[in-house]
Amino acid sequence: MSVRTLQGNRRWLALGGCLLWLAFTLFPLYWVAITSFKTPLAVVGGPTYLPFVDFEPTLTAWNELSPASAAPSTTPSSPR
Amino acid sequence: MTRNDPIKHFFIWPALIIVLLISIFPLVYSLTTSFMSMRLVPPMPARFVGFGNYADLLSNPRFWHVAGTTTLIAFVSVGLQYVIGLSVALALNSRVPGEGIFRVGFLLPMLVAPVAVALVARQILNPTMGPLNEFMTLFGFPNLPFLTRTNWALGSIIAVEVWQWTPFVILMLLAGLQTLPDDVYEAAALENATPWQQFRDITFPMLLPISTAVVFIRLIESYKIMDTVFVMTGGGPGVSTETLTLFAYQEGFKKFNLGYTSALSFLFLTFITVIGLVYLAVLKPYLEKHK
Repeated sequence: MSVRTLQGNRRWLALGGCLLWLAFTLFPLYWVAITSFKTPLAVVGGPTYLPFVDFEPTLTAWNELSPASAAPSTTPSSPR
Repeated sequence: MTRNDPIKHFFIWPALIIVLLISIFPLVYSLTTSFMSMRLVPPMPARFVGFGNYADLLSNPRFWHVAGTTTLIAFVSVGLQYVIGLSVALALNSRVPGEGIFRVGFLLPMLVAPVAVALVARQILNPTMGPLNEFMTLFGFPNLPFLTRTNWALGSIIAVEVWQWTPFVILMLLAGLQTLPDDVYEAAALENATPWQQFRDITFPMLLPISTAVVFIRLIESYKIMDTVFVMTGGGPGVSTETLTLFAYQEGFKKFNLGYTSALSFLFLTFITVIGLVYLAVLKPYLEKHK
């Protein structure tokens, strides 16, 4: 056992602090992740948090990004 | 190859020319510009004005306000980053359960581009579609003006800075903590030193050199804050959250007042240099005491 390992209450205090900071760190990243599964309407329509519970997730944004669907799905950018 | 072999010129000149062209020439050029009145819109011939630009700036209340705002943001955010970073690094170093997950999770913000972070922050702080305001209404608060009231906007910018750059402090301090020798702690345990005494008399002094370096780096980086403020508030409301770099941007790329902007940049450079020198001079006795 290392001398610097915390004992008893201090250990749980440190764990609590770490969990708190982890929540602060990860929340914005989680927010970005779930927003990528929302429709534009769901994004502006007030905050929702849990996919399938709060809002119906959709892959629209991801499909628009993927090179396979990029050509036919979007509006024609060049006149033909 | 002897010292006087002429081939040494062949090796040294390419590097020297690149340095001269890329860093020395622009520096000298902008220094000369700072003593001239040079405008692109409307185009006017450059005119030598001596220290006129500097005098204008130093008598401009907006410059002092902007310098004050930048100092406030830099010092408060770096202070918070250091306190939180040191606490988290100490917790990680004492083998908190689930340390591996924490280590990865804590480092993630540093990997995100600052502009993206500022855009996400704008979404989260949004008064109608943002989650933070909804969360605050749970406690009975009205809609809070996170980005539209001066003090709140400054707080939001500092919070974003802390979110993004604490991982760097954690990383550096954790690396520093892991190089501390174990035997001093064994001796301290033998003397029945309390954890607080161990921290105050062993960990903190021994960590001081790396703490100094980390705070120094962060302080200088924070003075150069640009992207977060630009995206989140654009210097607003009014000019109340404008920072030095943003002021320089406005003067240089909106008004094309190049002489004035060069003078501003050099004042900014002197400002940071003075702060850095004072900071190092204040800490020097402590650093030498524990050498």
